[in-house]
Amino acid sequence: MSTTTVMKPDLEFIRDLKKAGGDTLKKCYQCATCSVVCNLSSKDHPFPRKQMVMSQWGMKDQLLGDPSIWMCHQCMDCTKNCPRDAKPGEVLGAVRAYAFQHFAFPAFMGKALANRNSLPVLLLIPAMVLLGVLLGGSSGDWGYLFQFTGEVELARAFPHGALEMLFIGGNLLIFAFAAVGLMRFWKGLKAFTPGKSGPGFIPAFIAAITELLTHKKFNDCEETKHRYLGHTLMFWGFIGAMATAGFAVFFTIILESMGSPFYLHSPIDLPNPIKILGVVSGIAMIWGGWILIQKRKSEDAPGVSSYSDWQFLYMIWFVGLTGMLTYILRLAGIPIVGYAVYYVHLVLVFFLLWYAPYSKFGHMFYRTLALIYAKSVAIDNPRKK
Amino acid sequence: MEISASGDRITADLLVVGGGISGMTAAIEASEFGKDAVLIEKEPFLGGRVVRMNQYFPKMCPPVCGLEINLRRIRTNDRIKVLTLTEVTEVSGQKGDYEVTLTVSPRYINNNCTACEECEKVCEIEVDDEFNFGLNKRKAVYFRNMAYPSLYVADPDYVKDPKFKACVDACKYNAFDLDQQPQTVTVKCKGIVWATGWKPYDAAKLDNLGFGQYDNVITNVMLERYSAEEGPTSGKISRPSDGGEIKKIGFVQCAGSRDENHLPYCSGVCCSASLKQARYVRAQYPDAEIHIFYIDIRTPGRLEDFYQELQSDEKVFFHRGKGADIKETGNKNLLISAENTLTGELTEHEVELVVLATGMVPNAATDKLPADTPLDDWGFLLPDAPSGIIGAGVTNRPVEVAASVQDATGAVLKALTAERS
Ligand SMILES: Cc1cc2nc3c(=O)[nH]c(=O)nc-3n(C[C@H](O)[C@H](O)[C@H](O)COP(=O)(O)OP(=O)(O)OC[C@H]3O[C@@H](n4cnc5c(N)ncnc54)[C@H](O)[C@@H]3O)c2cc1C
Ligand code: SF4
Ligand code: SF4
Repeated sequence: MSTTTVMKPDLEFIRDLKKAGGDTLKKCYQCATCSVVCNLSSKDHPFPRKQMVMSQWGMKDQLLGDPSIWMCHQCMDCTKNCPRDAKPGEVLGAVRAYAFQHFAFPAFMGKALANRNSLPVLLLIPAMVLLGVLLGGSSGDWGYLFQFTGEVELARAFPHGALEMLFIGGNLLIFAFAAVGLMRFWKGLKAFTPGKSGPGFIPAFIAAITELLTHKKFNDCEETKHRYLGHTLMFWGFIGAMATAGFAVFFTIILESMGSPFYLHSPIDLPNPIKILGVVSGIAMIWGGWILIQKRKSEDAPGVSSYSDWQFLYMIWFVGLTGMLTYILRLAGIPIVGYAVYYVHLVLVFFLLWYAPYSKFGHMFYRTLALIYAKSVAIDNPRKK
Repeated sequence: MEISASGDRITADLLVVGGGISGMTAAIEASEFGKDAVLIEKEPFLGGRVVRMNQYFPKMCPPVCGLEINLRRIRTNDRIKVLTLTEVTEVSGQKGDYEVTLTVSPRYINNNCTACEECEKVCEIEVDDEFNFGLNKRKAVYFRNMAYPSLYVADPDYVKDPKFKACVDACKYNAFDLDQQPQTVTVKCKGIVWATGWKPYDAAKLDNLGFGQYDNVITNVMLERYSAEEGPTSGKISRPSDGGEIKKIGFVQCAGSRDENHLPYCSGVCCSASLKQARYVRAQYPDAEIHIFYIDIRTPGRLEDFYQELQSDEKVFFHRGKGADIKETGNKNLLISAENTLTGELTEHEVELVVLATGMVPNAATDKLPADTPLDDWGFLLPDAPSGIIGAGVTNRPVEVAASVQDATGAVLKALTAERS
């Protein structure tokens, strides 16, 4: 017996995708060149051909519940080979940008991050909070901030305790909000991509994490091979920088308050391994970000980048840059500039962290979950081993 | 037709450039309206691309059948003057009153030639035969089907070669004339029909499809030569790498056509051509599997019947999804990768021979055309050119023989009613 499926195209969704960088999606004529040339495309669940027709038909829920959207690493092999110039790589990028908004909780945050006009307000929030920290910490004595030479006492301007509170408190809140979106996402995956019987959650989890840490999929890209290096540097640089901050808190604050003899004086300096880690991580982020930005900008970039790509890339790159600069200015002993740069650094750090679930930063959550899901239902079988 | 005593000035009604099926038809039609036509062709033979076919759809008859009738009508017709080895150097004037300068290249062989083959037999110079896409060698003096006039022709690159003397000496009829020089002919005429046809798209530009890289990837035009009895393999379809038999063959449709990176348009005939070629294979290898990878099969008009017939053939498999990647296996077989867009799976098919269904590129796209004869973005002639030149056949659109013939008839009318506009 045949069944009838009634399609309800979501026109608003199609319009939004076009705005988010998918304006070429209607050109696709379903030849499937893209699914074949993509090294990440799965044998049993190929992409992006099918996702192109789903976009054209406005099948929003099906699309957002398809892990392929995140298995795509925007290598652009598809876009380069597409005979219709339909730019499937960009269209999937636009679906991802849409997903950040769609799963956002609270919803208005998703809208704000996607809209370039909201950027000043979004920046203003961490800027004001950190100004508060500065005012509170200095308790009326401003003179040291405006010196042209002398010691740069970062912890005096922005006391570690206050920063930690913002960091930990903010993150708890953000993770709780993110979890709402991620749970919706997971439910969508299960509903719309049943897959096959697979290895189960734990093995899938281990396989996915291993793959993410080694950047295997980036390495399988052809058209944008440079991104393997760029993204690896950025990824590990960021993790290293976070670890540095964590170690610093542990050794300078926690151990001190416990009265441990291993505690360290702030600031930690070279040749302490923690500082080495910090410097190396900073350099990795700057270098990796530079590669990614240059390639996205270059004339022969195989794809175009959307606002959400640029916003995130520049933010994280400036975080690395201002972090390193702060260190240099502290060594050089130029307080007035040192404090200013450190302030900008902190504003950007909190921008990234607090808005993580709604910006492109969220791709780390979504991609991880999607990959775990795809592996757990055995549909992540790229042709290239 | 008025032809000066030295033959270098001709007055006629119509000049037809290109002696393929479109150009031949145009010249014949003009003569049937009682008009004088000059038909020029840059090759030493008439018939154009169709001569290189084994059979042609939809009737599946050898092309020479149709062409030879036309050739006979041309030969016996006082109103048609044919100049082969001839190209246009300059066009001046306008609709109703053109003066066209032609350059006729030397053939180096005169009318004494009886096509006795003696010169060819002794000739030691062998070169790639462009007629067969380099699949075999030909001598530096050779004969072509549909040659006009029906004489041998010498390869201009080798007439000065010391080894060529043996050919000259072998001729008992004194037919060689190596002193021939390029000749200039002026034609005064009222209308011009441009019917310079097409060439196959260069398959080497299709990075992922392995042409030029893997021995057993060929193009559709090459398969016509493999299938033709007078062709380089005497009509045997086999693997170029080892002459081996074929158990499975893959056709990759739209190889370079409908592709913004190559030819953005549909070449119109290559679906029907692959269906036709599937029959050649079927006839030689009744047990072979034929796999056709397509985006959608385009068989306009009656050609749809042709498609349906093959669809019911149990040895012919149609795969919806472009053959987008080809790799060679250890035994020189080929793996065709595609996504089956009906089942949504990536597939790989191993075949002994791959045929790329490449499209048609109008020669006008690369030729130097007379002034004020604009082309569209793809190189097809636009209608209503200010120069008054009228296109015919594949010069206008990528079409099959039947449509070219119709188009040519219309073109003659348009070209000769020039005075009205
Ligand atoms: C693989 C394949 C298979 C096909 N099979 C079929 C089939 O089975 N049936 C069918 O109906 N159609 C078939 N076609 C289409 C068919 O080949 C064309 O419709 C036909 O060739 C059109 O004829 P034409 O005279 O317009 O062009 P052409 O055949 O290309 O003739 C043009 C002539 O002009 C000459 N010329 C070019 N430039 C100049 C110049 N500057 N000066 C003077 N002369 C010049 C050329 O030498 C040539 O002789 C096939 C096409 C392909 C690609
Ligand atoms: S996106 Fe391009 S390559 Fe992919 S199916 Fe559509 S037209 Fe073909
Ligand atoms: S005729 Fe068929 S193979 Fe040729 S370009 Fe058109 S669709 Fe593609």
